[in-house]
Amino acid sequence: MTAMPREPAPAIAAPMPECWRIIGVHGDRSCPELQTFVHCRNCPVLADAARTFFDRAAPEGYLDSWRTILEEPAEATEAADTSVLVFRLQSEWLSLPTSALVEVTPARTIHTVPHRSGTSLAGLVNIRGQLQLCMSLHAVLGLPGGPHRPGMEREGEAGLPRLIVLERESPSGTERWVVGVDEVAGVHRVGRADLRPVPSTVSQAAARCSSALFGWQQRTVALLDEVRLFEALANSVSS
Amino acid sequence: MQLLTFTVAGQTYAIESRRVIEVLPLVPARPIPHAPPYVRGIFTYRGQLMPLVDMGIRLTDGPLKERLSTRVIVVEITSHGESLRRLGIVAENVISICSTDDAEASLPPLDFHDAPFLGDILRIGGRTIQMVDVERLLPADVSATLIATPGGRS
Repeated sequence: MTAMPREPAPAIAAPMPECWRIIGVHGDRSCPELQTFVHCRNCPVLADAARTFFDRAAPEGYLDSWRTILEEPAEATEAADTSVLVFRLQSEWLSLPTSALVEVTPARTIHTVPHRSGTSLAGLVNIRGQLQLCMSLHAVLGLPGGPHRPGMEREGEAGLPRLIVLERESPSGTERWVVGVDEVAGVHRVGRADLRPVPSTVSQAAARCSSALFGWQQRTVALLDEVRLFEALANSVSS
Repeated sequence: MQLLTFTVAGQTYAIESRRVIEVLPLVPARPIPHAPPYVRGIFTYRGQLMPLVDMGIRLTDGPLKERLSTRVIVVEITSHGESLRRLGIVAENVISICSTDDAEASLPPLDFHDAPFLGDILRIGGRTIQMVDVERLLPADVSATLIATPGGRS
């Protein structure tokens, strides 16, 4: 992962100034070193030229423009942002703080558990060689629509079904849960100021697990509270 | 521990990556008369006044040249109680990171009283790197006067 710019490369004398334009990849490609380096960007001659280029004095006005940029006070919202994973269950857009997230993986076979089908427990899934409980978030949150079954989506449905692996540290050890969702829209940053309270008239289970709402691409997304969601998951599997 | 490396007078040094807030071009700083020579001056960073320490003078003899590639590393330090304070470090070749996990060999810090900020010497990926402890880069009296708390007034 480390970029090792200098020592390992053998020193090669530049055959001519700006050789990459004449015999390199931007020229006639006749340079014998291309056998070794394939592209001029891997060649120490170009790296040296680049370093020399940046060793010159800064162009006039460049540093002053940076000074002006840096004199602006930092935006106050910066520190108050939270990053959330936005996903879809049926027609509902929900989100979870990324702090509770371990990974998002493609949907895979869910092995149903006899006598426990039709409940909020969807079954067992293999995540990196370990069997994890896969929960139907639809059932836990009381959303319309049957338990989630990856691999049995209707044709033409937008987005790809995914499994989300969640984790929390609890007194009894690390708890891991897998939930299936219909689509994952990626990680987004939400400012605290953009969060709106959940209307008190909503009494669904989904609303009980939600801590706030926010607007995202002309949609209203519910931000799930990870503590309440983990409790709901634990309650639904023990009942 | 992940490290951000830089060079001074051809030698590689490193600071802990978790201390780093931002890496900036070398912006003009206002010199402070009678300040220690390694304090290059004060510059305005995101609305705060921040001292700029020249690693060229702190580690060797001369100040670093004002090149297009010379960088200011903005670091956060926690000296003087709990409050986080910020400091700019002028350095060259701020272009790579490495990890102490990859160290092939190491030497503990040599205890020179006039340079308490110099740390372990590590051999990583064919380079010999010396750690710099940003907490101890400025003597206590200098940092107490020069470094403002992030809130503004100190």
